Amino acid sequence: MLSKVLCYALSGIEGFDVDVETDISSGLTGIEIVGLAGTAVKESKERLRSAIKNSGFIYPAKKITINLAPADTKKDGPSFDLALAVGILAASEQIVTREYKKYVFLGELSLDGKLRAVCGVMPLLISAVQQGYNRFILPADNAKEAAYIDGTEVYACDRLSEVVDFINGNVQLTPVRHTTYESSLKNCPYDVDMSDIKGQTVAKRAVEIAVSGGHNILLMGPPGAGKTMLARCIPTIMPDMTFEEAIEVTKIHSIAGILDGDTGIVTKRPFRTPHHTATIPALIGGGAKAMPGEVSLAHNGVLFLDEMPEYQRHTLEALRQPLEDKKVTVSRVQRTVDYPANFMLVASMNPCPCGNYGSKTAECKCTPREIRNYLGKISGPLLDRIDLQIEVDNVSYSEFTDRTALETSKDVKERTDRAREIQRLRFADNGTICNAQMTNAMIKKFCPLDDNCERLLKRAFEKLNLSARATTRIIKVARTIADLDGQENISEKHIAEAIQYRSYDRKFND
Amino acid sequence: MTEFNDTEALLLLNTIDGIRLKRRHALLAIARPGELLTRIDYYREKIVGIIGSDLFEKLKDALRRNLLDREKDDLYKHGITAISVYDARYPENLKEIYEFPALLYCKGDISLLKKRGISVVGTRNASRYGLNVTRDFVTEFSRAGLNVTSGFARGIDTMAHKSALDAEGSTTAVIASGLDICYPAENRSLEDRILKEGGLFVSEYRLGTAPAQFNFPERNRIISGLSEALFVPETRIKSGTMITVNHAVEQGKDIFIVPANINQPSAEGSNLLLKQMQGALVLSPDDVLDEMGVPHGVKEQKETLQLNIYEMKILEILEKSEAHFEELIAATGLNANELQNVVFNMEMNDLIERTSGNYFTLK
Ligand SMILES: [Zn+2]
Repeated sequence: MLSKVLCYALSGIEGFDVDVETDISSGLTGIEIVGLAGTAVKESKERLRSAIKNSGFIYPAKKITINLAPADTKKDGPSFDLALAVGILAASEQIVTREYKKYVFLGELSLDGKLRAVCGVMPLLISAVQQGYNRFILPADNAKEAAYIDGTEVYACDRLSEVVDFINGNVQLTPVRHTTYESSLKNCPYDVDMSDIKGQTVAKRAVEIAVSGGHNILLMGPPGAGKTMLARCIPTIMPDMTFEEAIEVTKIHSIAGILDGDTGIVTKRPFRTPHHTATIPALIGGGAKAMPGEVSLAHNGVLFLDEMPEYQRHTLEALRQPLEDKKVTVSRVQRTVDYPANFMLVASMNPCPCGNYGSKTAECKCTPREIRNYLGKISGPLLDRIDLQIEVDNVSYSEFTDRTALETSKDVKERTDRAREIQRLRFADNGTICNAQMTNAMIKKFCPLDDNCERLLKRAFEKLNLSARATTRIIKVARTIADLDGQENISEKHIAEAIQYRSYDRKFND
Repeated sequence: MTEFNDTEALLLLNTIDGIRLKRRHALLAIARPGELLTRIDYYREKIVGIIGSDLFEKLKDALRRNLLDREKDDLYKHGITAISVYDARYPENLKEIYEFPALLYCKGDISLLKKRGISVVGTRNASRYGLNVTRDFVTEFSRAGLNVTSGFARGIDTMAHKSALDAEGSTTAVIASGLDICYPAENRSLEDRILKEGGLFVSEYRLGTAPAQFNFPERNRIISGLSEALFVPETRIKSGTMITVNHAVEQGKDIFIVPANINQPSAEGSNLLLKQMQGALVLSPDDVLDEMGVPHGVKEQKETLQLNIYEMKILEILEKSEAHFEELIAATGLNANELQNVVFNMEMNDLIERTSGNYFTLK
């Protein structure tokens, strides 16, 4: 007998429907899966036999042929298990109703017949809903994730036997209750807070500016100065993710299999710290499975490169394209897939190879040439995309007792949110959202400088020996400082402050 | 028979690798170098007694092949003047030292050889304090008209040369390699500046000589020998500076040292020296100039700027020592962004300077 079960597969972050056609005929006992099935699908043969038997059903001792249609698209992953099992059980008439034709089945089977969570449920469901499917049966562990998708009727099951009982009408199940995004936003505190950082006034201010304008930032300072802590606080003062942003992030994390099953949706802005030995596929995406890389996992969040000069030069070079395009294109054998990669780059570095340059407590043993070489390891084009460069120092806080209470991330976030809102209104018709992304034409339009500002810039350039390439970045940052200041026009004080955040340039030009 | 003058003879002697300081002085004890090489066969026995017959043959070969023209061409091409101890332009100061350099290769203003001056040397890994002391003292030395001699090394030496030029004074760099080699290489622009702004480079090594390790202690006797006094802003215990100090002691020069932080590794030598020779202690450039009997005027005041209350407060703090950004926030009560503006303006007006790690010092 023949059965046809609906399933869904992913290509990048887009899903497409797959018909699982199962035919059971007399002949030599065995199972064959055709239709461009990947290795993981082929491996499911053994799981199917055990799972079906251990769920109390009969595994037909006949010739089983399964076709995955469309036959021209590669399908991979264990998420077909459930659909395959339902197909076999329907074709062997152990499923006695035709109810199964109403549902899309997703799920991996364990040998004892339990349903295991699969990766990518959120993007799968979103695509399926867009293409007109709305009833799903999937593993209970994927329920949280599925609950965010409107217009669905999702049944979450623990075991294969439960699925069959439900379809056969032996048990009643209630669909998964929908969750609103707003409700999940409330309970997601970050595990760090700006108020945990003592001192570091310069760095905190610079970080606030960077977040306000969406600027990339470089933190320079000796080991132990708190560069990592500062970086980790950055997501805490970024604007809350909109539902659309959260869905984008969740889709990517779901595909990469790093989604937290308890929450089902990513509400915190990602903070990714790839190690400096990370390969280019790991960083940018690709590899055999065309998986998203760190730049996409950091989408809508922060990509933190700790000790940037430690990274291979060509690895850093590979970051240029995603920084420019805000997405990456990963090619696989048959097609290319796009992953979004709109992240804020935060990089850190020591002031010199030994890390002690400028330290008051330890001695730097590096020669000026070694220091110059070290600083020079960061490629110019990448540096060109970093608007703020600041020094973070390890002055112990107790040295300068502070009388004011430390601001929390919430306090700072109120200001960054306000500055972001100003930018949103400004750029409403310009297809960008923040100052860092301004084109030259936009800079001309939105950042007019009066004579005093021009004079100041000119004088500072001569005096501090800044490179001409720094100009646009100083103006963009000045625009953000003015926004934080609630001022429509950039004035001298905004320019002056922006120039103070060019520490790398100044070091390098000494 | 070719006749050689003393300078020519010394240039030729320098082409023979095996004749270094000791042997050269032994040879000069026989006769003046011009006489010695002009009548080389007459002096054969005595010369062989000092350098052996192999080197003697090499020397004779050098005379025969007339290497002199090439040596002179090279010097001409590099704009170098060779000045022997028998030359009227040779500084009297240097003649008096033990194992004086018989021949000096000079590039730049050779009148500086005889100008009144002070030598300033110190550690390569200088602290901010050491560098500030160097700058402040050298500035005053230069204003008082002294030539400042140093060794062109990183750290204190480099600061000494730069500060002298910044104060529109003169400076002499004594180096441990041939004058065609810039060591350390990162000082190439400083080399250009010294020559362009009327300074002088001195070496006793022939062109092409690499800055070998054993050249440095030898070179140091010239640094101390060229001046009438030695000022040490900051030194370690084991260092070339300490060798220079020893030379200066032997040569009977005045030595001046400022006290330093006892916890600062780069200044351990300074404090140790002060313990041994308390007479060397100086606390201001005026102390040095008074001791040397150099007249000096009242200090010029910096052009008066209208300072606001915050700027005055910051200057008051930085008068005492360098200060961190946080410290200035605490002292002024300003926000980070406000203070950024104040320090930026002060930096633009040359009042203060931003150093590493968000520290500020007086300029
Ligand atoms: Zn170092």
